[in-house]
Amino acid sequence: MPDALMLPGLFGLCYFAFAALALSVERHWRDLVDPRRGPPRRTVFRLRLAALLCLAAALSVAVRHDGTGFGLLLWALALSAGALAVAATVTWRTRSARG
Amino acid sequence: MTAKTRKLISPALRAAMLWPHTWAGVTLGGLLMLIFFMGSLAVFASEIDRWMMPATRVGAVETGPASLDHAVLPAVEKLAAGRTVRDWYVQLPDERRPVMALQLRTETGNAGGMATSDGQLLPPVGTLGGTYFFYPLHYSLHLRAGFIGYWIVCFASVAMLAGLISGVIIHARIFKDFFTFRSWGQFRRSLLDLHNLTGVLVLPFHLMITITGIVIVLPIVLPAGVQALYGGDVRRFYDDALGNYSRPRSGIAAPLAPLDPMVAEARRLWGGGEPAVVFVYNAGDAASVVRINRALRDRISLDVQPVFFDGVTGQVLKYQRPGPVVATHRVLSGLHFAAFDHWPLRWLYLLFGLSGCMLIGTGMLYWMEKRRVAHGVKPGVGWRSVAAIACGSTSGLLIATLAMMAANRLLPAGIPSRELVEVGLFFLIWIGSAVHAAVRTRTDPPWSEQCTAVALLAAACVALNWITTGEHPIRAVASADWAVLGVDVVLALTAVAAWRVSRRLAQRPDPELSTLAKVTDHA
Repeated sequence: MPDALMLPGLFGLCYFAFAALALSVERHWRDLVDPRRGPPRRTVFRLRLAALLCLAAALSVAVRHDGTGFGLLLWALALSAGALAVAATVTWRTRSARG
Repeated sequence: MTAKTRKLISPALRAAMLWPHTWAGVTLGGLLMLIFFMGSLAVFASEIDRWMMPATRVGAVETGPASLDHAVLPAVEKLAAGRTVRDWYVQLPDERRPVMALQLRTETGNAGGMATSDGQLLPPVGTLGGTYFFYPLHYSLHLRAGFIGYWIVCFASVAMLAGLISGVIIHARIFKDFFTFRSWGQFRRSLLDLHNLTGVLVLPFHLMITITGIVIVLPIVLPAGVQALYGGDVRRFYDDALGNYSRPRSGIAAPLAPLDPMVAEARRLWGGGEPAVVFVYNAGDAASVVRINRALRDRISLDVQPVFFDGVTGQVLKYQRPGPVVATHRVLSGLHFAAFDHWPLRWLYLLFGLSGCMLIGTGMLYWMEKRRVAHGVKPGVGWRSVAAIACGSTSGLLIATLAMMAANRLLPAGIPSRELVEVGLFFLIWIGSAVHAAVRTRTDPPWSEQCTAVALLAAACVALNWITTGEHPIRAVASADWAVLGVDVVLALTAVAAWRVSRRLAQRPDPELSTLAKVTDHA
């Protein structure tokens, strides 16, 4: 993977992983997707599987690019960054959906 | 949450965890805010140094000086100015500090200075800057006598650790609220959301940074082992543990062997890598010792792999690799120090360090808002003290820091003890803003006034840097001076954010008791 794509790739994967996890939470699903009912079980399973795959891919990107030590550290911190970004997005979307 | 975990964390346990969490936060919140904020600044201490020491903005250097003997030794002699030098060391230039930093201990006192990589001495910088003021404030509070500052900081860190863990236990719906920040509705609920969000999502970093911070000073705060095995002689302990070497002066004069072959030998022993610091102990003595540390830029571990040479013969005296426990300690310390060259990680450390400030700040604010219910709109002395501490340690600390940076650009170069004047101003203005917060706290601390001050000071810093050094953003981009540009950009962002916050706070209506009476849904 080219150098320039490493960071966007890493943070993007972490972001998508947590976005999928956020949608599997009933409150956010109701706020953002369907206010009448929570996420179906199969969708929850698929979202979690997608999140897991994204996190694994992010780890592999980080470790491949930066080596084991720096890669693990970068991945662990990128997780928090991705989760914070998702929380900000959820707040922003929910707030605008509420008018 | 499954039935099993519900049983594990009973309401009784939760209640038992709540009071130490609250007390630790309310009593030590201000101190922890200082530690976290100064730690966040310390991540970019070198860049702040470049901003505060314009004479050292000499453009990037690719490699260190070609010859230590030709570049460093004349500079040391010039700095000594005829006095007999006992020990000295030089920090060689690197990507983040394009100049050499020299420190000498002479028979009549200490001397220090900066020099370009070819050995030209620069005029005195007249400031402690980020490396010698903000950074030591983070770990020692500048209370070095008897390691008191280290003890206080370590105590606060242990309280922080307890706060983090008890916070996770208290948090009733950790997974349901994982991404939840309700910025609308009740103010108290928004505060608690923000507190939980930063506490949970950045928990790995906060745990890591707090634990490693404690681990670094373990030999100081848990001295029993050193006491029992070395009779309390920390120096001998470090000689053994870190592979250091020391010997007393012999009193017989002898010249120093050339340094360059020693550097070459150190490079060979390391198997590559760059020298970062060269120490000469007992200079000019037959028992002189030269120590060469390896640069840390390519590794997490803080293992500097010191190589010790006989200063007269140039032979290797000691090169000892650390044992497993010390190596682990070095890696944990390295995780905390972030001495490596890794810009994404450096920015993440800054961001999450500041998120620690947010965690502590929202915790104190939440306590204040919750207490209002009990106190009503006319709060008592206890509430007002916490409010004043909260204000003085957040916006007040920002004001003091920015005022010091502004003073750094305003004070003339020639005044005596310029660096101490800056430090004095920092503490005076900090005390002043805390007093202002205490005096002006009625129903609320003077957030809006202090945020206005932060905005004006941050904008003034950018303007003053431009006026006094002629370095405006466009020139910084043109000359690729990213350190100064970065500091300027962060200052400008601070100014804009603080200004918007102060305007918004000024328009906020006073809290009414009727809305206060509604108790939040906290466990």
